[in-house]
Amino acid sequence: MSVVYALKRLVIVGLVLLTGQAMAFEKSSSLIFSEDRSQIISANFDAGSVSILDRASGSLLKEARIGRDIRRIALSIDQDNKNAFRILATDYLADQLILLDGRSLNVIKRIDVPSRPFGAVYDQRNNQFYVTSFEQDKLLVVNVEGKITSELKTASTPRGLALTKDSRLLVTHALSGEVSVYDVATSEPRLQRIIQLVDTPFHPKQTTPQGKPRLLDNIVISPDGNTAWLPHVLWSFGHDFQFQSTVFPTVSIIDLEVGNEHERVTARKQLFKQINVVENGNKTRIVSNPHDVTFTADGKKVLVTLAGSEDLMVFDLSRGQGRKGNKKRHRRKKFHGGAKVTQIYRNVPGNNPKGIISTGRDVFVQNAMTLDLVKFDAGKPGPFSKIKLAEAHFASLVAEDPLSPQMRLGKTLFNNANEADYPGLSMAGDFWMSCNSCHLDGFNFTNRQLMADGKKNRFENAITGHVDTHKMIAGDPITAYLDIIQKTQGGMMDVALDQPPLEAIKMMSALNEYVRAPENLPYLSTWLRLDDDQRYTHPEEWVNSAKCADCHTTIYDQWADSNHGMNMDHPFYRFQEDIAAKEEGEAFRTLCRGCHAPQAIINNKPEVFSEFGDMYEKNGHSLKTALEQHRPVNERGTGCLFCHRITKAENSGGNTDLTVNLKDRPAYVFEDSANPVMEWLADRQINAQPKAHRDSYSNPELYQSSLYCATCHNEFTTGMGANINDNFGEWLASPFNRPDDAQQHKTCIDCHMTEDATHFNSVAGQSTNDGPVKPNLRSHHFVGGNYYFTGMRNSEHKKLSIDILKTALTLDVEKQGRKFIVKVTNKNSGHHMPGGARRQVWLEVIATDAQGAVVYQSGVMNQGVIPADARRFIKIGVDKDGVPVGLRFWRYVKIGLDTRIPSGETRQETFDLPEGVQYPLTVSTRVLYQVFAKKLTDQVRAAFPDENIPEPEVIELIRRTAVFEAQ
Amino acid sequence: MSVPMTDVNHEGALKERLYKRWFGLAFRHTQAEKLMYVMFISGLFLWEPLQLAWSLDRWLLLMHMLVGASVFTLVVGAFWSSHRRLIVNAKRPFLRQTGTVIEWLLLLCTLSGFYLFFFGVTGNNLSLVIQDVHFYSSMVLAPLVFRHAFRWSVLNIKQIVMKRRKVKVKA
Repeated sequence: MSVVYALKRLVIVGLVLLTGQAMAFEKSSSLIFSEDRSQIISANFDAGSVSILDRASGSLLKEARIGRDIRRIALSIDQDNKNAFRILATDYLADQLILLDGRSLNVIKRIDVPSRPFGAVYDQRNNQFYVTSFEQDKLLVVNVEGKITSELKTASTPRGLALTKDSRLLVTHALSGEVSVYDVATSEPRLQRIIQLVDTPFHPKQTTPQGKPRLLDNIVISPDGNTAWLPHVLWSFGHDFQFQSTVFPTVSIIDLEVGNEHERVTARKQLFKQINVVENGNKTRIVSNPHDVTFTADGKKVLVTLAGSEDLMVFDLSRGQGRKGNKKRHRRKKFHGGAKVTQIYRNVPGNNPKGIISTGRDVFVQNAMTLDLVKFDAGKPGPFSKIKLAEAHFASLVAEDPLSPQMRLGKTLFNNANEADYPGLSMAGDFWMSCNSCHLDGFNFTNRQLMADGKKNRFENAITGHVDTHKMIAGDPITAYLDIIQKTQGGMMDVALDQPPLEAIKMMSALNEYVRAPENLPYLSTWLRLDDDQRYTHPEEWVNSAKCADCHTTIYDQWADSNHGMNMDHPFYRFQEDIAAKEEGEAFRTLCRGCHAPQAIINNKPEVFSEFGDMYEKNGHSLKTALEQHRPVNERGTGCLFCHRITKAENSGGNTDLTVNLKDRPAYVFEDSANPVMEWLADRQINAQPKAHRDSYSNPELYQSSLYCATCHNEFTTGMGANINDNFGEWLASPFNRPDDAQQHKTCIDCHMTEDATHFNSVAGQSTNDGPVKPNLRSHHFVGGNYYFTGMRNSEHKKLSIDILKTALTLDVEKQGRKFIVKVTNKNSGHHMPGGARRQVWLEVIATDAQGAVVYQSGVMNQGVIPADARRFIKIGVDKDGVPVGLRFWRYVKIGLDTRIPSGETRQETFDLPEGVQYPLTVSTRVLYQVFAKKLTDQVRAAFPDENIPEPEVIELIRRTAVFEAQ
Repeated sequence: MSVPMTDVNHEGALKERLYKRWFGLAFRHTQAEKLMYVMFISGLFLWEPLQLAWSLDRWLLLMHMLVGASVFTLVVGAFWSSHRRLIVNAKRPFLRQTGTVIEWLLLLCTLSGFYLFFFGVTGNNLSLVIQDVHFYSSMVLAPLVFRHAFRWSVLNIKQIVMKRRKVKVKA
């Protein structure tokens, strides 16, 4: 193997020499030197700028504000003109790459890319850049002119990049703990292998490092090219969710032997082992959030920034024993993990040290929050020299911080685990973890990985996040944050929750400001986002859905009477929302309104609903009236503009995790005018050239994805992360999720947006008046299991609803002796049956003897109530003591019972028939369905005595009658 | 009922003046020609493959529609009604033939334009056909008008240069 390896190396080195290009290792970084190392170029994160600094003096030579959140930069060199170079910057929040002139920082080109571009690296041999699209799992190849030449699907969450001298591109996958190796000898990258970093095994002792490798932001190749160093953390949710057992700092080592790239598992640097610098008092110095790495000029020392605890960690390679060392010289029985940390420079000046570069003895550390550079002296070569601070504030990266002081403080706190920063009010206990250790880059799609990794046996513990959040955060965010910091991060331990000091309140208010940033949770309880600089809109900025009826009459009519229409704030909903507000605080209403009344949230109408909500209103009458009166409305339900201006579904677990955009809607001249003549003229323009109108309201790729519907049909508890409803996950696991089999594959809209609710065939129709007849019109009936409300308004809707319900299940019965066996199969539903939390599905069995007398019965309703011993298909959430949480469903801790039928599966129920009855025995078996239980209906009636609330009808889904001649 | 002589004379004079004016419209009507080119160019920029910025596109669309339905119809309509007799009686077959084709194209383009204005392209087959008629008729119409009126065209560079020289000589 070693001969082959040596030969391979020789060939590669030869090739490199032949090309005449002296290539260095390239890594994706937020801080780089200019070609001649006289300048430092910095990507300034949320300042949205790129800066050029003089390396000798630290003076800010140039700064260009180019975007929102510049994460990484890469430098391309023009081989013909060494003075000409270009910078490619990734704008993480704006979903753009920006190509800049390296000298002037003038923008040459902006390139829209799949969401969350992060890493960037330049490949000199192919004269092209590689960029990772973190959220869309893509590797982009971009030429120096700024054109995307290739787009490759990768393993999930690609983030960091590094390029070896022999043209291998290393891609880290931040949330799956993988490293992909691509061959980039040619301009088209080819995947060679994916290395899965091992999970450090579970250990009963909570403080022992364990868990899954996560947050792999950077990867750096050692000067000898043999290894790659990968700072990251381990997420461990096996123990209680708290600071000493959840996140562990780690540096993994990848062996870069050509064709045999693998993790050197035993060389992994872990806390208390290789990271074990003992402080006074014989206590190991705890560090958090390893971020970036650099090697000193002699290649003997490895410096790692620790973004959470704000330290600089030094590994001395000359003291470590590599596996490839001379084994004959030093015989050792056991490998002890190689190089160890010899120094931790505690409390790097500034906040949130991230980027790091070095040249000679100069080491520069980039602070992402204070937006400055710290200069260190790496010391003379040799094992005993220590790294020393040369200049605490060597340079400012920006002329002015664009963030408000409040937002900056909030963001700093979110990333902070340095106990020394806020004495007595520290964000973390003993430097262990910051909010960002788990909530990578805030509150976004990375949440789904937290929930996936935190998943346990839900019958024992369904919570994946914080335990018992105070007032569900929204009801009292200040206390809730303090509570979380105490319980989870071990900080603020001296703060009394009922009477926090003013300084702590100020800090938490700032933290809340960041949590409510546009890219996070602007409305706190819901994950709904508005793509705009402003948090709220005015009702006049919305288009009344009734206006769409002018040209899309059929679609409007279908929608208006559907369960997605204006009546989503019916009394049952209001009853439940009022309970939520009473229990947790008024602001908690937003959790519900994210899906039931998103316009009310975005228009900042937090008050209790007092208008609309008429369950019987047909055809959106109130909307039409408002339109005639030119009165803006806060529509209930998911109206036309809302659904058709959703630009992104995030897949962070549900709770309205979507983004709606109103501002970029291409409006025709006079389109929003209230003047009838102008309106008429605008309509003429739309009709004359409808493409802009059509394109701005249509996103077929998104609509076809079940994820679109999952944004509302998946729910989890805020802060605690317990899954309430998982229709999307159920569908993913169902036989209908077969993307490779077009016949079998069905997404949400294939069943719920067709008028053929029995066979789910395509039904032709016109979505536009006088428009083309589409072979498969997506019906806006949104047919589902709630026949109750739609039935009040429209018999066609009710019929469709009952039709789809009746297709869901199959029923088989058999008798073995006295045992009567019922098998119910969820054959046609792409999610569990029932899909909704309030739906009642149960078995009714009635046996009559030869005389027609009832000799046995089960599940027979008594005065509208399902008997307690009925065989029900139901999920019951309970608290930690096992008591059903009922209407306080967001407070459930574990699942007490789940007898729902997963898609494609069969549930078997056995009944004991009585002895001594006169045969033949006729057994009638029915699966019955009721949208709401009588108890709930009665409660809603009591809460709204003026409303006419009928008894929900019981629907027979399927029936089998069998006659048994003898026992 | 008797009519005062003065009024009769006045009415006759007005008619005559109007006739002369209308008669004069038939010859080298630069406004009509310019309008036709403006409509052609603005329509061309509305063509999808050209992908004009929406901020411009929306105003261009409105202008194209309003001008087409008002000024263009009036000015070119008046010119055409006057110019017809020249087309019919033209001695040169070329002018007669191209004039006749232009007449039909103008009719097609204008009527289809009105259809698009009032009914639009809702996506049904008729609207799609009419959209094509409008597009292709204009594509032929504009160059044909230029060729037909080449000698007197506002786009004839030779004419423009000569006109400028004359102005200079006068000065």
